[in-house]
Amino acid sequence: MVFSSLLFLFLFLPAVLLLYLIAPKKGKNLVLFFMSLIFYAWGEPIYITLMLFSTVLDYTNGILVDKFLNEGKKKPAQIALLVSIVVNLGLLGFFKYSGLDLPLPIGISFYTFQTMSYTIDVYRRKVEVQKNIIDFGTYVTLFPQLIAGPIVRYETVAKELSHRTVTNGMIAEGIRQFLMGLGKKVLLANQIGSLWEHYQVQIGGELSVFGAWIGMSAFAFQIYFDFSGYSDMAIGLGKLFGFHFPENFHYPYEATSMTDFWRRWHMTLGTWFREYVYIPLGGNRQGIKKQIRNIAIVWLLTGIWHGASLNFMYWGIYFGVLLILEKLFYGNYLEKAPKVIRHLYGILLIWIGWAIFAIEDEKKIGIFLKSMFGRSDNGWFTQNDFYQLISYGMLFVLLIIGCTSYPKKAWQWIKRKVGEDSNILFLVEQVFFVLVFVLSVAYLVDATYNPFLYFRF
Amino acid sequence: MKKEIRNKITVGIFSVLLFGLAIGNQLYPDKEFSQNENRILQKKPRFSVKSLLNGTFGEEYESYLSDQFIGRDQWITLKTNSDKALGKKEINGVYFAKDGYLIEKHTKDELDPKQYKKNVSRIKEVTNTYTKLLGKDHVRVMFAPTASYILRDKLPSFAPEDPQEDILNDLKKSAKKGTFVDLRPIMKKKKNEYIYYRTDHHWTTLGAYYAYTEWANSVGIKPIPMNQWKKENVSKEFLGTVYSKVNQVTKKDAIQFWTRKSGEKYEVVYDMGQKKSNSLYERSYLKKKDKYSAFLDGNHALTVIRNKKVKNGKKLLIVKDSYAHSFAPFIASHFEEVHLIDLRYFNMGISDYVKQYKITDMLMLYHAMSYATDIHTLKLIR
Repeated sequence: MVFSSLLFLFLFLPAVLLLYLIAPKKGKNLVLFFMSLIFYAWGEPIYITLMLFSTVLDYTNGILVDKFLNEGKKKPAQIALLVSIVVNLGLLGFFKYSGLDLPLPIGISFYTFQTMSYTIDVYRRKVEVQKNIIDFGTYVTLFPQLIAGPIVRYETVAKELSHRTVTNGMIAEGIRQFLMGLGKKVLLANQIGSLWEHYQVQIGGELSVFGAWIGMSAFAFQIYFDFSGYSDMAIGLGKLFGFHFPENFHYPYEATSMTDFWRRWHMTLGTWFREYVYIPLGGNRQGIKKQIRNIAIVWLLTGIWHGASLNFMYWGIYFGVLLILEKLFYGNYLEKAPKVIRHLYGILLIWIGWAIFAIEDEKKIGIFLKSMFGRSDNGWFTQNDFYQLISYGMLFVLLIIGCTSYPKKAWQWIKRKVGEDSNILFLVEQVFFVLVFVLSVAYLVDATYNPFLYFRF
Repeated sequence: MKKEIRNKITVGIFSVLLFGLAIGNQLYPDKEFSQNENRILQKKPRFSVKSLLNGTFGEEYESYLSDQFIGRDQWITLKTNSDKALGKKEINGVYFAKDGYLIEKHTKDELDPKQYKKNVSRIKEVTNTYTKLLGKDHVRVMFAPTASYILRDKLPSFAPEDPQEDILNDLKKSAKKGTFVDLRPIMKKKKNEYIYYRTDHHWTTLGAYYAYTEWANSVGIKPIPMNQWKKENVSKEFLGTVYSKVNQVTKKDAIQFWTRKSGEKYEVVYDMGQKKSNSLYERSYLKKKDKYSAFLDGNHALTVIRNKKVKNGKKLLIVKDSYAHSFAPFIASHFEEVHLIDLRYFNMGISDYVKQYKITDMLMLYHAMSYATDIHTLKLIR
């Protein structure tokens, strides 16, 4: 099930809210656990076994690791940890990379990473062992963050699993953030996505230079609003139940370098790799050579994490190389360059990255990149390019403004000028969110086009 | 304190919206059929362990929710309006054209190159084979260009090229010399008249009439002049198939029935006697959404029209799509019998039929896109 569906909005969500509300305090996690299983089972009921398996396995491993460590037996503790890691990576590898014709269990890349964070942190004594299997199961299966992140490490929600309070303020904030995400996904990402689809089939056909740029911009906006919208929905939903999930995006297209971009894009994945791969490998504390090796490993893994096809690996390598180059050679110069140059540098390289990411066929990546750099058999632009630009022009304006921090800054500026207390501003805000909700429902009812991008990962 | 009240208001508004719609949906009675979309709506799927486990229950339940959503048509209209407000020039493959026209968009992508090549070469085979069988001037092929080609001036600026120019050129080249009736000149000449519906993908009765004059001239018959037809306005409330795709009322269409002033006497037999009528027009459809079906009762595998006022021994076979339905009333004046065959539903070879029913004349009438993409053309030469 996805959040941006009528089924979720008008059947699942009301049901889960109602049950959660009437459940006694002790039963609330059970409600979440049970409903999360239903949520997960909706598309592929058979994989519910996978969920239960992961829950039991990592629960047991956590207890074993803790027990052995308490008894001072380091080796057995390490073995239990290893079992957890091997099984989690094994599951991920089996379903994602084995090449067998199996439907990919949704969110497997996300929840295997989440559960691994638990056993690793128990081993490191950073978190207490979870003795209550319902509480633990709630963490593993928690539907808001189950499918597409943010990747919530156990440490982040450990306390809230057993003690959390929900205030009206939190709920209101959760509603706003959820609706913001819903709007991003349904009203922006889905709409611009159909333009990318239009250009995607032109590769090797009538794609022009201008067309390549329009097409890749469409994809860049689609993936950002799709993914960050989903994260916003997840975080918002979390708040309805009293959880604080970490933010996942921070205006990534405002990045002024690739290093900067990765501090702003899919932040929880970056944090995960830093915590569990980069730092354990020595990070930047063992000389520049080791550091470069570590960066290379992390980015190779980041690429592979995104999918089994080779282009994802190239994409990871591409960023790895850029980050190393920035670190070793021109990072300092870049920082001194005028802001415009840095932004252009950022957008240009991010867009090239998306071309590698979005197109699976290597030959087509080549054709596309050539077109982006002015070499297309179809000239600089076609009549169709103008037509599409006129059709999508307004949407592009909204997307460009919407991906920056300016709307938020402007709103805060107005609030300061008029006064936080203003009833009119409060009214405007309510109307805005009702509008987002109503329009999203209209687009969902119409939904001729509602694919969900991050399912593949 | 104020903040707390405000939080409560926000929570209240969205609880009402969410639960209100959720409950409304559960109480809202299900519809079987959407007239607007012209399709059967998904019914509540029956639950079984098997359908749950293989995922079909989930899938069907989701389309059920969307199909039976409370106020579905209004939601879709809202979506269309907001798309338009954003400057979209087309929705679901429909152009918002000038003067209230909704025009179906056509592109080369619709063509399957393999099938298209076959269809083009089959025109050569058809025209050669049947000319040999029925004689010169007894076989014609005619492909109606659609509104997106003829009314190009009305399309949004920079609208992508329409493929019909190329398609019609290919078909013309393929057809045996003299058998291809090119409708482009006449339709272009009359493009400022009401020859296409604004909300439907068909031509109007007037458009069909102009096509008929072209056909008549090409076979050396004098077309019955315009003033000899009585024109009856039967509906001003027509919202056709193109409208359904966008759910956007611009300007409703008017439908005309034309009958001979000198009077006419027809017997129409549908599908080998499954249904009979003594009129070319089925007025009952005028009260429904699907009003174009008033012409010859919509789609049938086989329709036979007997003109009781003509005794000339001539029998015409029209292999056609629905463009022929509003066209047939004109051509029927010249034949004792007109047989209309729709290859999508008709399962006999055409050449057998021609021999068995002693057909004397033949016409193929499709709109260009529908012939170019038709997957049933093999039956033409069987």
